[in-house]
Amino acid sequence: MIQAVVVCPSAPMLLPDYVGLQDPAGPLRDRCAEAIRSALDSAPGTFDRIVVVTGRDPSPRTRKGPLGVRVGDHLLAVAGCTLPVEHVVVPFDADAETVEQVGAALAAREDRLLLLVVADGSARRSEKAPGHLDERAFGVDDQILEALRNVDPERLLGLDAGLAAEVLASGRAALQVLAHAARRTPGFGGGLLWSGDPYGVMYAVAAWTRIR
Amino acid sequence: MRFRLGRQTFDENARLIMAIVNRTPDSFYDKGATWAADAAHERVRQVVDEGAEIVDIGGIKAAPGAEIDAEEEKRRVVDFVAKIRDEFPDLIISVDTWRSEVARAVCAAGADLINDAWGGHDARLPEVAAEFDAALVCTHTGGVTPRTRPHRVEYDDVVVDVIASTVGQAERAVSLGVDRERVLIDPAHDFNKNTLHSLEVTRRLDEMTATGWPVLVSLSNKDFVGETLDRPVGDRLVGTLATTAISAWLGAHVYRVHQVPETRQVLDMVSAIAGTRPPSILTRGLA
Repeated sequence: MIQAVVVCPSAPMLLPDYVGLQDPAGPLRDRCAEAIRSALDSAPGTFDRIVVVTGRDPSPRTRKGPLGVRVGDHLLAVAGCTLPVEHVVVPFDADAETVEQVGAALAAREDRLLLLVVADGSARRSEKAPGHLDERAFGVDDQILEALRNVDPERLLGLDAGLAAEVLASGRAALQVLAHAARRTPGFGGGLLWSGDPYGVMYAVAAWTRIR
Repeated sequence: MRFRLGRQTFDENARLIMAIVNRTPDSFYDKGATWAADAAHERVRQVVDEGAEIVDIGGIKAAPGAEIDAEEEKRRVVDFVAKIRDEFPDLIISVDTWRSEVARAVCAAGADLINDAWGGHDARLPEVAAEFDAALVCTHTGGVTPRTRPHRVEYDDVVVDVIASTVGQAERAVSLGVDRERVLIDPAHDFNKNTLHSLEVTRRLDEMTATGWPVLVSLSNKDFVGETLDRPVGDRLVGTLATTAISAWLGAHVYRVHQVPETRQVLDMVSAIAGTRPPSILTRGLA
C-alpha cells in the first residue's frame, strides 16, 4: 500500500559528480531531502520500503543507468533514509497501457511504500532554456503543477504524451505511473511544496501522504 | 603527416589560426559587429594583417533562435565569399555551414573549406566538398539537431565517443571522394557536451591528434571556459588562451578564434617550447 508520495526533479546538478566549486542546486537538494524526511516522519516506523519511480531515455548513450535512479538514490542518502530501495523505470515515451500497468501494480502492493517520483516538467521555458522557448510549455507545466497542488491524479492522466514530448517534459510517463497508482489508493492529502524554473526547466517538489 | 587547405600544404607542426568573421546580427561574442558588409570586409583585412591563415565565415549563430533558411544564409555569405576571394587570392576561406546547398554556393564562389559545425547533419555535404576539391571539417555533436543546446547528455567516455564519431565521418568523407589530405576532425567543445566533457576532451586531446587526422579546435570564449572560471562572455580571453596553449602542446593544428594576435603569440610560444619553431631573434648571451 502506498502511504506517501514525494515528487522531486531530476536535474543532474543534484548529483555530487556534477557539483563544481559552487553548488547552485544546494537549496533544491535540501528541499527535496526535507520533503522526503517529512513524508517518512508523517508515519514513523510504518514504511517497509522506498520505490523510486522515474523515466529513462529509450536510447541512452551511457551505461551509467537512468539519471532519475541516480538522483533518487542520492536524495534518499542526503535525507538519511536507510530503508530498502527499489527502482521502477519506464521509458520517457511509455504509452498509456504501460503507465497504467506499472501504476496499478504499485497500487496493488501489500508492502508499505513511499514512492519517490523523480520527474520534471518542460525544458523549453525560456530563450536560454536547454530546449529554447516553446510557448506550449507553460500550459503543459501548469497542468502538472495544478495536479500536484490539488492531489489530482486524473489531471496528470490528462497530459498529452505527444505534446509533453515536444516540450521536453521528460517526467510525463513517471508522473502518469504515479497517477495510476494514486487513483487506486484512497485518502491522499498534501500538495505542491515548491516549484521553479531557474534554468528554463520546470522543477517541482511535492508531497502526498495518506491522511489518517 | 600532411594536410592541404586551398593551395597550401601543412604538416603536423602547423599551428594555424582560423579567424571568425560572422555575417550574423546576433552571434554570442561579437553580437553583430561584422553584420554590415564593410565592417566584415575590414575585419577580414585586419585578421589577415594579424596573421590568420584562414577566415571562417558564418551566416547563422550556433545558439537557438530565429530560423534562418538556406536562402537567407546564402544571402549572408555567398557574395561576401566572392569579394574576399577576389581581394585575397591566397587566403584560405572557410565557411561555417551544415547545409550542402549553401556549401555548394560558397564553394562555387571560391571557398576552400567547409566547416560543418553540426557533425554531418546533412549527409550530402561531403559530396559537395568532393566535387569542388574543398576541405571538410568533421565535428562531434552526437547527432543532435543543429542549433540545440546540451541537455543532460552523458557519455561513458566522451573522448572515445568523439574519436569514433569524427574519424567515422572522416572515413566516410574520403569514401565519397574528399581528398584524404583535406579532412580535419574537431571535437566541437561544448556542442552536446557539458563543461566537464569539454575539459576532458581538452585534457585528452593527444588521443585525437594520435589518430593522424589534422585536428581543429574551437575554444574561443566558450561557456566551458566561463563556467570553469566563473567569467562572463567578454572576459574569457585568458581562460581561452590557457586552453589554447594546452591544446597546442597536445598537437592540435587549427584554432578557430575571435582574438588573433593573442592566439598567435600563444601558438608561437608553445611551438618554440616544443622545439618546432625557432625564436624570432637570438642575441642575449650570444654576442
